[in-house]
Amino acid sequence: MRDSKPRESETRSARVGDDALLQALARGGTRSTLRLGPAMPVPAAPRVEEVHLLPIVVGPHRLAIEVARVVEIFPGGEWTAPPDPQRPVALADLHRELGALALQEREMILARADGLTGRGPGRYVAFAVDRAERLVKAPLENICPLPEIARDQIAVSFLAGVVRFPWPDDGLAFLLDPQLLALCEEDELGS
Amino acid sequence: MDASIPDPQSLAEAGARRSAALKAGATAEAERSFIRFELAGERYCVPLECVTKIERVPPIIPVPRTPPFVRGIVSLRGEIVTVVDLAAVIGGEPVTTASHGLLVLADGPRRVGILSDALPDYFRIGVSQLLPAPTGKAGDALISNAIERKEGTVAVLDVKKLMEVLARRSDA
Repeated sequence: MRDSKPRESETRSARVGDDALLQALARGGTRSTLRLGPAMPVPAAPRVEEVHLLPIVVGPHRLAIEVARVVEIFPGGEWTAPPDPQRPVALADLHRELGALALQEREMILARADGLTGRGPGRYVAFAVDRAERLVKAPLENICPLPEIARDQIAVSFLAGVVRFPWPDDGLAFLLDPQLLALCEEDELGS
Repeated sequence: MDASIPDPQSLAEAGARRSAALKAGATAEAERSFIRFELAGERYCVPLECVTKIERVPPIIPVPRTPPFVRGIVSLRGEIVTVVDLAAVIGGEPVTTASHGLLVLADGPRRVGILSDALPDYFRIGVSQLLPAPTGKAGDALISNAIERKEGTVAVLDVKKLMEVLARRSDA
C-alpha cells in the first residue's frame, strides 16, 4: 500500500526524472545526489546458496529438476493441451530414455526448455513421471557433476549431475536438464 | 673376567657393524605395500598409494543407461564416486554375492570404487618378490605383476590401465 502523501525523495526524483536520478546515483557525486544523500552502492547480484528441487521418480531411478524450470504438474500420463505456436512443447518419453517401465498412475510435468522461467512464450518440454515428491531445498554444494566413469559411460546427455539431498533424506538423485531432454527428443525426431 | 664375554668396546663395535649391515640390507631391497582384496574367488591387490579409501559398502544408486560393469554411484561423506564391477570389466561373470568392502582407487584426479568379496587387508613385500604378470588369463592386460604368497598367487592390478579401460566409451 502506498501512502497518499508522496515522500520528499519521490517528489524530487519525479522532478529530476527517474533515469537522471539513477544515472546520478550510479556516478555517485552530483548535486542531486548530494541533496539526496550519499550514492547507494550498486546491489550485488543475489548469490545462489540453495536450490529448490522437485524430486521425481521414473521407474527405479530418482531424478530431480529445478523448481524454477517447472511450469506445471498435471495428473495422468498423457499430454492433451492444444498446440500453441508461441509455446511449442516437445514431448519426451523419459521412461523410454531411461529404459524404465512406466506405471499406470503417472504425472505429467511441463517445464521450460529454453533456460527461462515462467509461462511466457518460448520452448517447453512435457514428460511423464511415475510420481513427483515433495519439494526439497538443497544447498548448492550438494550438487555436482556426474562422477568420472559414470559420465564417460552414460548414454544420455540430459542427466547433468548428481544431487545429494540433505538430512533426513540423505539420498542421491540425478539432476535433470529439461533443455537437453527436449533437444534429445528433437534429435530423435529429426533422425 | 669370564673369557666368553666380549669386552664392551668390541661389543659396541659389533653392534655398529650389525646396524650398518641391516641398513645396507634395507636399502638394497625396497619394500612396497599393497591392499589385497578378493573377487569371484580370485585374489588381487593394488599398490597402497593408489587406494584413497576403504569403506563398508554403502547403498549403491544405479546409473541409468550405462554398461553392466557400472554398478552405480555412492556418496562417501559427500564425495560422489562411481562403483564398477571389476569382475565384469576383466571379462568374468558379474558379482552376485554380497560384497564386504569398497576400495576407492585413485589415478591422479580420477576415482573409482571397486567391490571386494572379502574384507581388504594390507601386506608388505620386497620388490624382488614381484613376479611377471601371468599371461593367457582373462583380464591379464590389467595385471602388472603377480605375487606368490602362502595363500596362493595374488595378481597386482594396474590401476592406470584400469582407469584407461573404464574411460573408454562402450555401448550401454
